[in-house]
Amino acid sequence: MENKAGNSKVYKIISLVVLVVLALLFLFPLYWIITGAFKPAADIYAQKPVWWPSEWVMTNFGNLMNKRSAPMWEIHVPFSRFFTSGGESLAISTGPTVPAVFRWLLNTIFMAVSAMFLTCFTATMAGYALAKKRFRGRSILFGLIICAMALPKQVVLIPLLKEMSAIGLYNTIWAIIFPTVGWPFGVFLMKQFSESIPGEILEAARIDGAGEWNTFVTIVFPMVKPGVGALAIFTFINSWNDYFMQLVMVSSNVNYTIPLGIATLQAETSVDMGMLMAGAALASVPIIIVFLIFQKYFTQGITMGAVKG
Amino acid sequence: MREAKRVKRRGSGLRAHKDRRAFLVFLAPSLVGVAVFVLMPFLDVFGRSFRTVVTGQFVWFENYKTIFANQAFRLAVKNTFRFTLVCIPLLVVIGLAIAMPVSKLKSMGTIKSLYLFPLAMPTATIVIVWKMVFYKQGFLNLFLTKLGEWTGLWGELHTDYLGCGAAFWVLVFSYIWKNTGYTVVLWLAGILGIPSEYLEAARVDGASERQCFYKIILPNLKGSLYTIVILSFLNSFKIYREAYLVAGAYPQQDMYLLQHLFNNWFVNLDFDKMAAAAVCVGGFLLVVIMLLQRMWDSRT
Repeated sequence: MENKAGNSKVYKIISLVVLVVLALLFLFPLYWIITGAFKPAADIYAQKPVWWPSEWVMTNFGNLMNKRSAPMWEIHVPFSRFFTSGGESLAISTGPTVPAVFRWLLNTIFMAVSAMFLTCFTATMAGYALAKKRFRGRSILFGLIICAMALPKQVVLIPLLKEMSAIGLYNTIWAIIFPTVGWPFGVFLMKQFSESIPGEILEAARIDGAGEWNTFVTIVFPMVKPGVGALAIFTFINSWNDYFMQLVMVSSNVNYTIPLGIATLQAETSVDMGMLMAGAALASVPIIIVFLIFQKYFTQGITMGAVKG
Repeated sequence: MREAKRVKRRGSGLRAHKDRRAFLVFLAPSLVGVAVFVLMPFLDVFGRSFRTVVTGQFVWFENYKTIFANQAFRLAVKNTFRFTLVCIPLLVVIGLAIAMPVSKLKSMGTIKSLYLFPLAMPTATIVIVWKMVFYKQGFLNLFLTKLGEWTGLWGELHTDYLGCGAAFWVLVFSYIWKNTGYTVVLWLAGILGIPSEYLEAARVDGASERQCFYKIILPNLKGSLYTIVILSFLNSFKIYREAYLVAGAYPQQDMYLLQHLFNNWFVNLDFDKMAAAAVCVGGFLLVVIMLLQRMWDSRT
C-alpha cells in the first residue's frame, strides 16, 4: 500500500513536469509575439533569434497607433439607411477619434461577445431538445444540422452576402454576428452534452409539476454548464478568428475586426514585423482574458454536479 | 434489455407528444438560424451547380464532369484525404495522452488553459510566427537544416521547409499544435463526466490503474470519441487558413488542399465549378458522418 502511494506520487510529479514542458511548447508563439512586440528592430531582424528583448521599446505600438485613425464608436438608427434620401445611415452618437486599432479591438470584442451569448443561448436550448425529446423528424433535423456543419464556408458566402445586403446588414458588424445563431457546431456540441442528463431527473421534475422552461433553467442548464463553458470559449474564438467571413461581410475600414485589420496591415507593410507583432499581441490579449474567466466551468464534472445538485 | 429500452422510448415519446409545442420554442431560434444562414444559401448553390455562370443556362451534370476531369481538383482531394488520415488519429491519441494526466491534477484549470492558447491565437498572429520561424533564415528552418545535417534522418537536405515536400508536415504540425487544446478539453469533459463512484468502487475491488483505464474510463469515453472525431474531421477542412496565409493561393503542391481550390475558384469567379465541387464535398462529408453515427449507435 505504502509503495503504491509512493509510485503514484512519482508518476504524478513526472507527468506534471511533462505536462508543463509541453504546455510551454504550446505557449511559445504567444511568448514570441508578446516579447517581439517590445523588441527594437535590431533584435527582430537579428540573424540569431533573440529570446529576450535587449531593450523594451514602445516604438512598435507607436507605429501601429499612428497608422490609421477612426472614431471610437458609432451608434446608428437600425435600418435607417432604407428611409434616408441618400441611403446613409443615421448616427445617434459618434465617439472621439482614436487610433483605428482601438476601434477594431472594440468591434471585435463586441462581435465576439454578442455571438457568444446568442450562440450559447440558442444552441443549448436546441441541443437539449434534440437530445432529450423524441419527436417525428428528429433524426432528419439532426442530419441537416450535421450537413450544415460539414459545408465549407466559402460555398455559402456569396448567397449569404446577397441575403445580408438585401436586409441591409452588409458592411455592419451584425452581418458577422447573426450567422452564428444556430451555429450547427454549437447545436451538435450541446446535443452531445445533453445526452448525459439522466432521464430520471427530468422525469422527476415533470412529476413535481415543473414546466418545460422551469425544467430547462433550473435542471438542464446547471447540468450542462461545463458544456456551455466550452461552447462559450469555442464561439468566442471562432467568431474572433473567422477571417474569411469578416473579410467578405465588412468592407469599410472603421468596421474592421482586429484580425482583419492586422491582415490588411500585413499586406500593406510586410516589412515592419515589429508593428505587426504589436498588433498581433493586442489581438491576443482579450482572448486570454476570456479564457481566464471561463476555464473554471470545466473543472466541474457534468454528472457530479447533477448528483450533488 | 432491448425490449425494455424500446418500451421506455415509447413511453417518453407519448409524453413528448403532449408538450410538443413547448419544446418547439427551444428549437426554433437555432432552426431559423440554420435555415436562413446555411440551408437557404446552400440551396442557391445547389441550383447553381447545374447552371453556367454567365447565362444561367441549365446544363445538367456538365459542371460535375468538368471538376472530375480537373487535375487540380484531383490533387486537392488526394492531399486533403492524406492530411485527414494522418492528422485525426494523431490528434485523438495525443489529446487523450495529455488529458489523462491533466484530469488527475488539482489545479488543472491553469494548465488546461495553456493548451488552449493555440486555439485562441488569431490565425493572423500565428501566421506571423510561422513565417518568422520557417522562412529561409528563420531559426526553426535553420535548426531543421542543422538537425538534418547532423542526424541524416531526412536524407536529402533542405533549406526551405515551406517550399518542399516537408511543407506538408509543417502543416500537420501546425494543425496538431492548434487543435490539441480543444481535443484535450473535450476529452477532459468526458473523463470528468464519469461518475467517480465507478472508479472508487473499482479501486476498492483492487483494480490497477491500467485496468481502471481500459475497463472503465475508455468504454465511458465513446461519446467523447465520436464528438472528437467528427470535430477534428471538420476542422481538418479548415487548416487552409494557415496554409493560405503562410504560403498563398498556390502553395507547394503537397499543401494544395480542397480549400485552396475553393478559394481560387472563388477569386476567379468560377462559381459553377465551386458549386459542383461543394455539393460533392458536402454530400461526401454527410455520408461519412452518417456512417460514423450509425456505427456508434449500433455499438452502444
